Amino acid sequence: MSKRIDVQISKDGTFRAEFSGFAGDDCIDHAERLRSVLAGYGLIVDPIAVQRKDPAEIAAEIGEDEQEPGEVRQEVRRPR
Amino acid sequence: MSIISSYSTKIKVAPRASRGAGNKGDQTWQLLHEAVIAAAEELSGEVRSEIADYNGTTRQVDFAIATPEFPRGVGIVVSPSGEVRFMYDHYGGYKRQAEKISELVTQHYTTLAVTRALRALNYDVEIQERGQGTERRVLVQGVM
Repeated sequence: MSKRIDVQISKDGTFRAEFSGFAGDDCIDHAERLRSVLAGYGLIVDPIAVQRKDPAEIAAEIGEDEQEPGEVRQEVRRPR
Repeated sequence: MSIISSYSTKIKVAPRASRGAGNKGDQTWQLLHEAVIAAAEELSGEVRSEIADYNGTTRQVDFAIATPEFPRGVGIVVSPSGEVRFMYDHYGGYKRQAEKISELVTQHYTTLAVTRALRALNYDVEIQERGQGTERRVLVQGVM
């Protein structure tokens, strides 16, 4: 499965990045690498919220219907 | 595992001494220049190096965009440490027009930076524009 990052940029320059197709904590590593490279391009970015995809979203991402019961979306708010 | 992250952004280009000229300049100044040109073109405006206030007094800035809607212009000023700020005189009911120019420069800069960063990380990149009501959004898709 290919790795994919969809970045939606608002008019004020804030953006939402959706990471798909990453195994394990790979997406966290890629998010950090993206932040680091962006800083080199003069864009300093700070996470406002990091949300883990729920099983249904992951299943839709990989084209499977199976969902693990009991898992819920986790949201971690970070100070700006 | 996959995640969805939201980020606040701030533009900070290289210190003024690194500005240079043309292709020999610093890449962050080049990006800023490209973002200014793109915003000016989108608003049928032009890129200048000075802005005017309500009284017609002019002031030199690093870049400026003057549009038919706001001919006084919005100035883009870079501090010695690289902080980017927008400067304008909106007296007389021009606040929205000035903000529109500032936002467009910011959005174009972010789009350019994200696109180049994803390419630097070996992603194939596509860009789409999406309007949601009066809000213009840009979607940058990177696939590896």
